[in-house]
Amino acid sequence: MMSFLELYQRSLLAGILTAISTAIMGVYVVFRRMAFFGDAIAHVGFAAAAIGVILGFSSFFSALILCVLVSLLLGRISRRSLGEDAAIGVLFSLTMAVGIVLFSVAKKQRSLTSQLFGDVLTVTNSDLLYLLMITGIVVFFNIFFKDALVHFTFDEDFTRLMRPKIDLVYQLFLVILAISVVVGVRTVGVILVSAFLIIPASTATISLKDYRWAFIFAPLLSSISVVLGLLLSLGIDAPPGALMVLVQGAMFFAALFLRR
Amino acid sequence: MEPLRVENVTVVLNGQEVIKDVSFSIKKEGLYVIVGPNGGGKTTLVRTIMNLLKPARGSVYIFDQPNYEYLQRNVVGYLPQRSSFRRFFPIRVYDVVKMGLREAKNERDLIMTALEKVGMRQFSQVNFSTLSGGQQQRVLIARAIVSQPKLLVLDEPVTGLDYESQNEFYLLIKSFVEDGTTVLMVTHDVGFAMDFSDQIFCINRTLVCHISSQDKFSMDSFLVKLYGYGVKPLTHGHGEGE
Repeated sequence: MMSFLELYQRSLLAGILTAISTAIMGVYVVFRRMAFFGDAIAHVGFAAAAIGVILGFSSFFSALILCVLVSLLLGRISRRSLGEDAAIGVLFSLTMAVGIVLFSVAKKQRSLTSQLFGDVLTVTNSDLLYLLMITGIVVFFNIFFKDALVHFTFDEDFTRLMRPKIDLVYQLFLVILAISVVVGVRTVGVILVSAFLIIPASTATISLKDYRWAFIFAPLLSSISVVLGLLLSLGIDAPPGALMVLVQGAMFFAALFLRR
Repeated sequence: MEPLRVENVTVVLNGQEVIKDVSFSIKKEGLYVIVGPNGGGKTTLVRTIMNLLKPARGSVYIFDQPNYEYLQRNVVGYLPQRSSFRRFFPIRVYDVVKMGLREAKNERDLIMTALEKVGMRQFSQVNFSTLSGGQQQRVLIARAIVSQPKLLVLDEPVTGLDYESQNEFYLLIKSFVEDGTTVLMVTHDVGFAMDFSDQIFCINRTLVCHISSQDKFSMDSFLVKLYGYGVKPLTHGHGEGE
């Protein structure tokens, strides 16, 4: 066990921080039925990272800026009900195609693979610092605006009446959601980051009578999946990110089965 | 002070005038009803009163203040249409009612009193999504009255409720009126409106008629005014013999 901790110390910490931030935001994503939204943001991040690589900018910061802008734009589209799912669908496939073409033209296949599947085993100290910061922001934001976000999730109209500034809080929520997705991409990749958003939160909400428990169980289950996924990767020659998602999937179906 | 004054309100949604030049006022406390056909703009009007929609023209005043100013400082009790909330969100009844409070020192007392008034005190810790439609509506009424507002706006509160729940609900509304609250209610129940309200406002894209309890009128002429044509009640012909 000691050698596992020594070997995977950074990966474990990065995975758990990703698990905490994405699972907490995921609870709202699941209740608000925004699952597709997280996917779209991750794919925008992929294209933005490709643009950053081509232009010689930091792929992380270019992804961060573009994702925040797009999430705010998607938030506006959803308020105006202009076919949110179709708009996201177009964006989703288009940015994926842009990313693949740009990474291929730039002959950066390695960057492409790490964007798609993440690389929890090679996280650096600066990655850990970003993860720590975003996890702190997510936790603080959710403690400070818990009532507003929960009320808005339950009944938008009534919350707008009681809290005239709620739309501002929601915009902030979208920004933090975009940042946590971009940071999660570094750890588990574009394809699997939405699993971190959706699966633990869905598992935690399957049979709960009070939403509060979801904010405890979702990060807990997600963190357990990180530890088990890394442990499994010692014995199975497969990417740890994918193994973590497999563990999350097993937890989800177990919860579904137990509820019956 | 007039509880509500609507002045020449026109609301445009997606380039179309949903309601046009609607004006009316509520001069004293009582029960006031808005009736009208589906798509006639009743909910649009209510949402405009509650400052959830901005009128293209015209103004709304609540207790002689512009609605947006009044609503920033005071609470108007509001029961939106039943479709507005996420039915399966796992939230306790207590937390639903708490939504109706901005800041209060005696939060728990206010919440439990509101639940007591609607006969739901014993359900305070129950998951809201597990309640029946009638019980959920009672909890949402408790949420609307928890701040003890002087004006209560209810948008189709009995839609989807069975006959018994509707009657219980109407008794509850009457008790609020007797306690001095001004209630403005949107309903399709023309019979209730004619029997119990102080005034009826008929909305079909604009204010098509305005009837007070002292006015003498026939149901037929009322329906012609409201719908623009005669509406005959449906009969089944039971006991008439073939």
